Formats: sequence, C-alpha cells, structure tokens
Amino acid sequence: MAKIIVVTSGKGGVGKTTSSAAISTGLALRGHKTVVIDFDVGLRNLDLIMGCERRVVYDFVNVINKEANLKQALIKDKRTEGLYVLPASQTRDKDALTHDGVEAVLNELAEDFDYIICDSPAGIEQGAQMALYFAEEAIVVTNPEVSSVRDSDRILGILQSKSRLAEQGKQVKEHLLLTRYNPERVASAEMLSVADVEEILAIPLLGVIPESEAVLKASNQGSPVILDENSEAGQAYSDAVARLVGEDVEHRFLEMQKKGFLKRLLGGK
Amino acid sequence: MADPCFHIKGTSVTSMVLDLYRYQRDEFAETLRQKIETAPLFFTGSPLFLNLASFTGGMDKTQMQSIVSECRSAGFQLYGFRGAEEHVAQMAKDAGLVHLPTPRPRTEQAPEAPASEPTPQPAANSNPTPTKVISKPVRSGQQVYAEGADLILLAPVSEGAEVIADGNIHVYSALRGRALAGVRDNSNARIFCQKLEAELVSIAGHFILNDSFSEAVWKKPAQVFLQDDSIEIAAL
Ligand SMILES: Nc1ncnc2c1ncn2[C@@H]1O[C@H](COP(=O)(O)OP(=O)(O)OP(=O)(O)O)[C@@H](O)[C@H]1O
Ligand SMILES: [Mg+2]
Repeated sequence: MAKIIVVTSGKGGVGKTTSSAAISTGLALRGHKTVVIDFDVGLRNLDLIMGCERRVVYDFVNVINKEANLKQALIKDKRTEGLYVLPASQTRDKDALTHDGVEAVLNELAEDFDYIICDSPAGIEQGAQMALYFAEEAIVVTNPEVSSVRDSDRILGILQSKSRLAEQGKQVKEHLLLTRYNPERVASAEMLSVADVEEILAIPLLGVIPESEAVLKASNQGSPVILDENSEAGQAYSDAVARLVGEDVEHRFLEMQKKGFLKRLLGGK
Repeated sequence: MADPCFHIKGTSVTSMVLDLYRYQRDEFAETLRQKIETAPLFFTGSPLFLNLASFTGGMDKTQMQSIVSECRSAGFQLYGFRGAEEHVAQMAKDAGLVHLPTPRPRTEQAPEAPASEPTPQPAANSNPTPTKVISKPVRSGQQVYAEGADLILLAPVSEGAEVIADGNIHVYSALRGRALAGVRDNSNARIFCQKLEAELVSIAGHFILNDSFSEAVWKKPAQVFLQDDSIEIAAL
C-alpha cells in the first residue's frame, strides 16, 4: 500500500514543484517505487522540472476522463529507476479534477507504488484542497518570510479539518520544509530564522533547503536538483528524504548558518 | 408507515440577537462594521434576529430594508425579528423577516421549578463549569467557540485565528490570534495566556487591539479582565 504525501504551501512560488521533483527522485534513489503527480492543472510545471515535457502524451485529466489508462499516461523517468511522473493537463481548467476521479487514480496507483507524491497548486482553494484531501502526510513548504508562514499556517488548518483523515477524526502527519533559506538575510533580520518559523508553526522540521543557484540551473536542465550531489540544495534535499523515511540526520544547514554568523562576528566581510 | 421520510421535532437553535435601540443609517453601518472586525470568522454566517422591544424613534420602510441589507451584506443570516409594534412588525415582514414569538417573561417561568424541591441548585453545582479542551494548534482562518463553557487551549493560537468562549479562556501556549471571552455578556470572564501576542482581546463585548498593550506584558504570561467597563491586562 502506497503512502500518499502532499507537497503544499498556500503561497505560490515557494518551491513546491522543485521539492516534489527532488523528494520523489530521492525516494526512488533509495529503492522506493515512487510516482509524482502534478495537481497544478492548467500550469504544468512538474514535467519541465523533471525534464520529461517532450514525452507527455496523455495526462492526469485524460486518465480521470477515461480517455487514456494509467499505463499510457505515466512517464517513466529516464534518469532514476523506479520513478514515474503523472503530468497535469495544460489545456483544461482547475475543475477538471473530480473527487471520485482522483480517488480512483490514487487507488490504482496505490497497488503498485510505495510512495505517491502530490505536487499541489498554490492557494488554499479547491485545487489545493483536492491535492491534499487523500494525503496521509503533508510536506508544508515555507519560505522564511511572514506571508509564507501565514499561508502555511492556513494550509495546516485546512489539512487538519478538510482532509479525508481529518474527516475520520485522524491526523495528517505534518512536516515543515523551509526552502530558499538565506542565512545572511536571516542574520540581517530581513528573513525569519528557522527557530522563528518553527515556533510559529509548531510542527516538526523535515529540512532546510538553502537558497541556491543550483536550483535554477537544475530546472533549466530539467534535472531535479537532488541529482546535483555537489550542491548544498541537493544535499539538503537528500537529508530531508532520509528524515522522511525515518532516519535521524542532523540538520547540516543549521551549522553553516552558525559559521556564517561567526564570520560576521569576527569581522569577516 | 414504518419508515417515514421525515420527523418533526421541537428543537432550540443558538442564534445571535441584535437589540436595536435607535436607527440612523451611518451610525448603524459603522457600529456593525466595528463589531464584525472584532471576530470576522465568528460573525460571518451567524444566524441573527432583530429584537425591537427596546426600539425608540421612528422607522420607515426603506430604513427597515436597509437594516436587512446591511446585516446580510455584513455576512449575518438575518432571518427574523421580535418585539415590534404592529406597523414596524408589518414592515419587517414585508422585508422578508419571520415574526418570532416574544418569550414569556421570567416571572412566568418561576412556577415551572418546583419550589419544594431543593435539587435544582445542587444539580447546577455538581457540574460547575463545562469546559472545552483543545490540544491542537488553532490555525489562521480557524475558529473555536466554547458555547456556555470555558475554553482551554494546550497549543498555540495562530495569528488570524479566533478563540471564543461564553466563559473564561486559558491558553497554555502562545496567544497570537483573537480571543473573546464572556461573549454572551459575562463581564466576569477572563483570558489567561502563557505568552500574550494577541491581535485583539475582548471581554463581554469590550475589546482592545494589541497596539494598546503595554510592553511589560507583550510576549509574557498575562491575564485580561474587565474593570469598570475597561479592559485591563496584568502580568501573571
Ligand atoms: N532553494 C532554492 N534556491 C533558489 N531558487 C529556488 C529554490 N527553490 C525554488 N526556487 C525557485 O523558485 C521558483 C519557484 O519554485 P517552484 O516552481 O518550485 O515553486 P512552486 O511553489 O511550485 O510554485 P507554484 O506555486 O507556482 O506552483 C523557481 O524559479 C525556482 O527555481
Ligand atoms: Mg508548482
């Protein structure tokens, strides 16, 4: 039985798709058969970041409308064994995803896969609610700034009131993924610190992904940043995946933050 | 019929009541706006009826209609009225409101409690104050209401959340949202919290915003209470 995990945020542009691509790749690299689903109907970004846009023939909506079966729509990743992408439609509108349709697709995928990663659209409305409804776990992607934290808080409220588990009186397991973290801007108080965000959201920290040029480079190349093993962002995503599957890994990035801070103290410019 | 398709039963539904004393359009709209600002989530969609028993002054048809439309556009579900003189009652009915019966005065209720039996008082005491306990964070956009009870929160109340009680509110964590205690006119209600960062605190309808909190209590354990109709905040 697959574990369904939604990657969600409320606020747009915080790194959900980047994180969905990296985490699903990381899970597959560890030998877990994984599918990543693009719930952002109408925008379709995931296939670009995964570098499979030219191989999209059928999409999620085609499967829901029974115009294609899952086998036809799933794209097997060329780089990573055991990884599949279910792309979103570019042409349809948000209402194309129906509750029953999504449930049927997830049930069918659950028979075959270990992990189902749902890349949510931005917002807290219908599209985002559809992406999170069936999830057992949620990775809440947050940038270290007030408006992003506030939106994450709202989406946490929705997770614990409008998801299937919440309706059954159970709890969705929550993970905080802090992305685009820039220690220098934290030190100059332009950004919230890890501790600030943890205190406000009060959920366990899955990882801190530094702001890194490697992310932009990776998405231009259509290769998830986790495959760039030399980059800080790639390493931070690998650590986050290890924690997601239950390993106890120290937060490497927090140490770097201290170093940066010390350097400032010692007068290094 | 073995399996009837419905039953009709008696029930009582909680509703808010707007006691109208006088009407002047701008004043009414402004008062309504201020009231809703204290707790938007709480008031939005709330069922409401108009009590005209203490209304003085004149009222015409357009005024009645504008009361109805103002309440509705403010998000209330205004459905009825009570206590109006005959011609005002007719205008209210014409504006689509339901005429609710006026409750029997309290003196008539007294005989219902058998005087010889001492049970009612002790019965009330044996279950002192009902309490609602919430152990998960109350997030932005969420609202918790402890009806006829105290409210105890064991996790943070986020900015943009509302916690409301007819009794006292205890927050054994950070209070960052809005807290309204004693909302049904209980001026003895208090708010206690471990870390005061609230956007607004209110006791029995009186409220203050955080820009008038003193530095001495901000982010500190504190209690909020009403003294001579004004809100006081003291460190704990
Ligand atoms: N750690 C990072 N460092 C630098 N840039 C980043 C990082 N994470 C994401 N970005 C950039 O931020 C932008 C938004 O990222 P992404 O598309 O993953 O966000 P999203 O939350 O999926 O957005 P949307 O809400 O539109 O779906 C992209 O340009 C991406 O390259
Ligand atoms: Mg996206």
